[in-house]
Amino acid sequence: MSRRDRSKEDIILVAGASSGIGRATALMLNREGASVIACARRQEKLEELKDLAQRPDALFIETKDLASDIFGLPQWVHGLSNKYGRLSGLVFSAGIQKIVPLKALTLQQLRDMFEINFFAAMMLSKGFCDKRVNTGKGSSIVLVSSVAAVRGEAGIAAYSASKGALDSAARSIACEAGRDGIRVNSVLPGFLKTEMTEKWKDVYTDGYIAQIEKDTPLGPGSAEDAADLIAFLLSGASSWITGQNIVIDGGASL
Amino acid sequence: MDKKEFLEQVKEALQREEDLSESMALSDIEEWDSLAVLSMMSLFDQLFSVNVPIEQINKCSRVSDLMSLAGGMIK
Repeated sequence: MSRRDRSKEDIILVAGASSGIGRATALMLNREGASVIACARRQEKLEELKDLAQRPDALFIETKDLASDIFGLPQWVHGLSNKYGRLSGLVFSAGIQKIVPLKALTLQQLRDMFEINFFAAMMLSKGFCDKRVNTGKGSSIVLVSSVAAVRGEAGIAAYSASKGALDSAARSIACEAGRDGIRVNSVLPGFLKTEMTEKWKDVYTDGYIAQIEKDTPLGPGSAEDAADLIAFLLSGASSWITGQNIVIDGGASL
Repeated sequence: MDKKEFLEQVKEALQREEDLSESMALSDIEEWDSLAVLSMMSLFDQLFSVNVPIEQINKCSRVSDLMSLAGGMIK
């Protein structure tokens, strides 16, 4: 048996599973044999996900607006472990991205960004790290950050700061949770072609995409590229990796 | 706050499955470690707005000693 193998007893919560990296990760983990609890705000998107799953009987959907009750998230995660069994993995892929120049940025926008991108991640991690919730040694948290956390760009100060906070937290939580055998890492994807980039054609113009292609040695990535890394970090094959912020950007930041 | 409620709060802070009693020795509690001490400091701050120095918590040997740190706020 490979250390990458999974079984139905591997129960992994994917927050932000309705689109992009979260969706690709949920489908990949399901395909690899894990039981996946897919969480997102939009019920119809989660039902679409279940229809796409190779093993729909092992993909459970939970409709939840994480920002609606951040204080109660640890208890919510506890409730999921009572319902489905102890969790072996958590993927935090929820979040919002807004391009707002500093001169237009309001405190409320900054708070909204941190509420979902950072506070929700922290409270879910807190819930997961409760020893009554996880499977102990071998369990793993992967926080989806962004290369924006380490590479400046005009208009994304709030977004990049919220992702940088995630990366810092991952390192400290790794120190704290390591004693219980829990690993914590973040992944920092670069530009990926997703449904969001398709939708934001006015921002991600053909010219912008052409420039990305020119600046990225391996060309733009896909959500599946990031999902592969996340699946690896959730598996036994990465059992000695913790507290790391791993850039996956096709070499764009080199 | 009554004693029962306080014991529940400590149990939750320690993420413990079994109940706690006043007479229990802290050294017999599996979850009692350096992070538990820091969690107690945070708990006292949250529940009673009291800043308990770490040395005082480290001096406690039983659950009842923790209660006495609340300065009469546990009935």
